[in-house]
Amino acid sequence: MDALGPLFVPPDSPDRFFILILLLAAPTTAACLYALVRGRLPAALSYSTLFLVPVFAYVLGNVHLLEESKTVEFCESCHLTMQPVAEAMRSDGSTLAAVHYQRGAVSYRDACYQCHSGYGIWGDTRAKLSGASHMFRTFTGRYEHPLRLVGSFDIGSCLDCHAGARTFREVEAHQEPTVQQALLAGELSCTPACHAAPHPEAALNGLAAWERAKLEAKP
Amino acid sequence: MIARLAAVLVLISQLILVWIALDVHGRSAIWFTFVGHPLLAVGLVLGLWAMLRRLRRERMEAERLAPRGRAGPPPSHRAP
Repeated sequence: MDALGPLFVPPDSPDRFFILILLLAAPTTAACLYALVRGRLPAALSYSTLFLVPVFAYVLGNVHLLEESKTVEFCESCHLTMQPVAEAMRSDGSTLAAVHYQRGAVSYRDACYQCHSGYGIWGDTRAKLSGASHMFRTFTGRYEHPLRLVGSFDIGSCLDCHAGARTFREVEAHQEPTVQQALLAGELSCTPACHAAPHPEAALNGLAAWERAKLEAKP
Repeated sequence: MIARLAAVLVLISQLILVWIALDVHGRSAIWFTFVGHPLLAVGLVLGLWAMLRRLRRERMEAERLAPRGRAGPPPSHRAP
């Protein structure tokens, strides 16, 4: 992509938030080193400084993590589980995620988060809670392949973009009252009944299965 | 000893924080969330305990010295 020129590189927002975290971590680290050598905390610093600065630094660390964990790069950094899914989104053109991603219908940077976060502030909250649960499962190794969505997919994410689109409104099946009710009640989903599966099955089976599938697909 | 232990725990938690600040990835996020937070919490509690112990020791020392100070000079040295 770089070879085509700078116009084809997504703009990168200059995030300097980490500097603030480093500035707050520095005095705590110095105080800890002092305590380690002397066996007592520096008397010159007030108790509130000693305890509030590291806590505040951690609060900022959490904010930084919440923001940066929206990226596709972050999701695919858990390479055994998510890397095949992200790779399929970039290379395979038939699945729903790939179609959206490759046509630029979702953000190039936050594509995973945009579809999986649901609509509104509660969608964001649920996505963050389920992200923490994913991290815990990765940490403890308590996950199974193939990866499956827990519960039904929140179609609010789809409707956020499609509900007002003319191409979506003109489809007869979308105008059907029973279909509308079933979709809104979570009894019916957009995939795979009417639209392509969101991710290829092989990618949901982990890195080894995905690599095998790629080798088999080669002529 | 407790202050040193607290310092080590908080120091490690701060190093993990620096890691997450510079490189947000799955591994650093997992360490930050499930290791850094507990380390910081335990380190701060131990630090607080060490501080309270030191304060109590200083207060007891001051109380031990205080009666002598209030008693004044012995009678033989008092002014007539």
